[in-house]
Amino acid sequence: MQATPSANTSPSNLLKKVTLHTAFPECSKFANFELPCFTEKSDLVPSVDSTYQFNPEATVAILSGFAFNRRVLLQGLHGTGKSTHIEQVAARLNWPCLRINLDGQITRMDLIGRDIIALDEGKQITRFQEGLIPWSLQRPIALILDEYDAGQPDVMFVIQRMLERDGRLTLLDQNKVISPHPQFRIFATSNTVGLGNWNGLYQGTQVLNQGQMDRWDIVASLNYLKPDEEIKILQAKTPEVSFEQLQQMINLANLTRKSFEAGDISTLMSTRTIITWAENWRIFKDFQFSFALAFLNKCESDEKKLIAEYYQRCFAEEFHIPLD
Amino acid sequence: MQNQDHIEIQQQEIYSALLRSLSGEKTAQIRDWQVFVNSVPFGNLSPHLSLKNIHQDWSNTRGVIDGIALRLKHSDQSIHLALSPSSQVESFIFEVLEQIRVESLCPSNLKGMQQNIHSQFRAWLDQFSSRGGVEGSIGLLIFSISAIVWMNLHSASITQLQQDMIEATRLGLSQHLGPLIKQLKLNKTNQKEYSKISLQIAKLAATLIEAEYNNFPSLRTKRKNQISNLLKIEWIPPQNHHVAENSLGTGVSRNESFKFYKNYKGNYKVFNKTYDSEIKAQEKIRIKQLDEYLKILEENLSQQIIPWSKLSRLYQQIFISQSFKRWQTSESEGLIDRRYLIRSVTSPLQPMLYKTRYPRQFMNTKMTLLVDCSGSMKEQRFLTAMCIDSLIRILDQIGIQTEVLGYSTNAWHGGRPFKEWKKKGSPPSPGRLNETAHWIFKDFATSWKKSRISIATLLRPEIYAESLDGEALLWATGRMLQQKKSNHLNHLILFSDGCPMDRATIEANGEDFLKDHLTEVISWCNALPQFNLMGCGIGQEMRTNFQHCLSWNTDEGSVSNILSNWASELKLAV
Repeated sequence: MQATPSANTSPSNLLKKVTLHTAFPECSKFANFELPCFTEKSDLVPSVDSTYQFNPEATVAILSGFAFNRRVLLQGLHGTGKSTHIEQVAARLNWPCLRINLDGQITRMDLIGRDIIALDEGKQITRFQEGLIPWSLQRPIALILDEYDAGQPDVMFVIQRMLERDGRLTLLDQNKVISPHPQFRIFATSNTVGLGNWNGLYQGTQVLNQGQMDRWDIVASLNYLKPDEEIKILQAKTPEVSFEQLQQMINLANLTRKSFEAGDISTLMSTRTIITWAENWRIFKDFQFSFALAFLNKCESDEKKLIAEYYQRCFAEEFHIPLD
Repeated sequence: MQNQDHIEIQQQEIYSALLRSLSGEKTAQIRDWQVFVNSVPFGNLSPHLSLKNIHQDWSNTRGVIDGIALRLKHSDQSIHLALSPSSQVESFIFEVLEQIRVESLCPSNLKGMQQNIHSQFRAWLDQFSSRGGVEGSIGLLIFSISAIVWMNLHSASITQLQQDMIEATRLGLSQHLGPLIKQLKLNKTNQKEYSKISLQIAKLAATLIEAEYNNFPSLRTKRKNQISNLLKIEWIPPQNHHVAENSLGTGVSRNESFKFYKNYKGNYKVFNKTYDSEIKAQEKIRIKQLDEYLKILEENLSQQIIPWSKLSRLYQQIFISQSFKRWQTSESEGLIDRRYLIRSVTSPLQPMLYKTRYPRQFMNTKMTLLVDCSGSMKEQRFLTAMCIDSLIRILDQIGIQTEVLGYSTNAWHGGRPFKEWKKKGSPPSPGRLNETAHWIFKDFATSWKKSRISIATLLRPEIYAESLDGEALLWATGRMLQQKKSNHLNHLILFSDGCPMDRATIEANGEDFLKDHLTEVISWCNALPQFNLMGCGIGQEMRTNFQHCLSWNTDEGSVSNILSNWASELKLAV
């Protein structure tokens, strides 16, 4: 039976060493280094997706975080698979992962811990319950802070101390200082590079303190996959769609991405959307209808005309579904 | 003001967006049916891509846009211009061959795009031949070269009739042209090498024409006409475009822009500023008279059916911003607000002692309407005043601060500075001679209701005189930049019908003196951060200087239509 990693997990017994080039052949163009890898899986280890396509640059950045205890921030537009990328790397290293979404609602108490009322031998007592951060800090866990740029400033200062290597966490309520576990790792993903919602796309993102940004050793960016890499994923996920049709779908997605970059449309197609489109096609057997359901209906009516034009360019047929 | 159709503006916006995404060139834009990249006119395009033909029956709009997009994507304009020959025929052939090259690079999996560009080229060949373009020998030669190269590079065919037309020329050319076309095909991905070969082809064509011209000297006088009449193509060899330089780069801070504004000089100068005036309408004109104008304005407006609440909603959606900086206190969940901790004792069952962040919607915008009060604007003053009054009413209702300004001159034909200049013996290049009259119809602090009477001044025919647009635009921008709140987005709409006009200044300084200054100021405004300059009713000559235009259609005559058209145009521009 798999178990949750405990604070007492002895690292030396469970760790083995592999090399970058053997474990991740897609990174063979980079200098080889040794990677720690757990021999056993625990509950928190994500499951391996065999169809996942690694981006070599992002992978090597994440792996350096695992191997050398570097703080890695992965930045990219939504739907580029930032969090999944870290999870899939961790899955291949059998490294337990914990994802915390730093949305605007998460509070300092959620992270650090709080006093709760509990029953002890029939008596009502107050007890301090550790938050997610002290809990994971004492375990061999890769902590992934999702939506790092959406965290509230008071929450961000809790994290700041941990970002220093061997940075200890002081629990003021407990008079306790926690030293991190040697296999504790910290990663974050964000849509912006700490400059806030400059293009109006990422509502709720904050301008990050430069002291915070400075503490990230490695900032890697993950863009959309190259068409030939994207097509491999799509082929694996929806083998019944022909290669030519998949190419046309990816071309359309790329046109919407360029249009989005130029600020002409406010919605863009991620790889996830293309997969949904192909999956919808499996149900409806109609490309245009499936496309409308997967993507077009998310767009504003003014943008639909433009997207119908992109459709014509890629599929050489008029878009017959009414746009209004 | 001059008419500019709403549908046309919308079409241009969609085509611009298509250009940007298909080419990857983020700054590409179509302004008044001209292609601009980085706010600079792109220059010549092959005749089959002329945006002027876009509304012709024979033209395939998609093909034109796709062709231009491919040109932006695959051709380096600096290489192209550096190698481009100066003679008319040679530069024409050089341009067409470059376009054929970039179109041949269209990715095979963009099937629709390929269809579009093929159909447009064929349509152009049809149009060219049916309009008699191939009747002359030069026309036939150019037609044949274009068709032969196109067929070879695109592995596509033309109609049998066209093949028959070019057959004889093709045979004649095959010996020289054949090897060159092979080279073109081999080098189609290498612009430099390809251009060298296309230059050889252009030279070959020029030599053939020269030979024919030598054989028939009587053709000498006809030769020039042959290009324009027989080809029926407007073609001007490429030249360097004069671009007004921005002294201010993009991305500078607001303070820097204001400093720049203060020190703004340029080449423009003023002969005598003593008589310039800034006039508040209510102070200058008798209140009784203003009352009469207001009555007329209200009468005119009462004949219009304007859906105020619908329009207010439309405009609100365009300008509204959200922020999450405020806290809502006395909530039942969220973060504890220590100021209300006492409530846990006083009302333990309902301790409303939490706080949460809540979104606050606000208007982060200021808008100035600057009205050209030159003589030519007098005719449309009723419609202009109605539209401006209604727009201000809507913006006031949704909480946007507005200012309405106008500009004209205190006198015709130069006024007092002109007389002084004459007295001094008319020294050359005196600068602006007339007396400016800058009107303030409504300032940011005054509400719409209180300033209506001033806005009605726009109906007074006597305020319309000559116009010095550049100075007025600088003045209005300066007033906006002086505002205390610095994080606002500023929008300035210039209502004008064309070029600045002051006869005395133009006669003393040259035809382009005022126009150049206006162009310079517009390009300076376009570079300002958090500043959006738009034009409305602008004449064709100046229209392309504006990144965004609002439509003006007097034929519609309905204020409601004009305002809802503006709303959709502002949505794209904001």
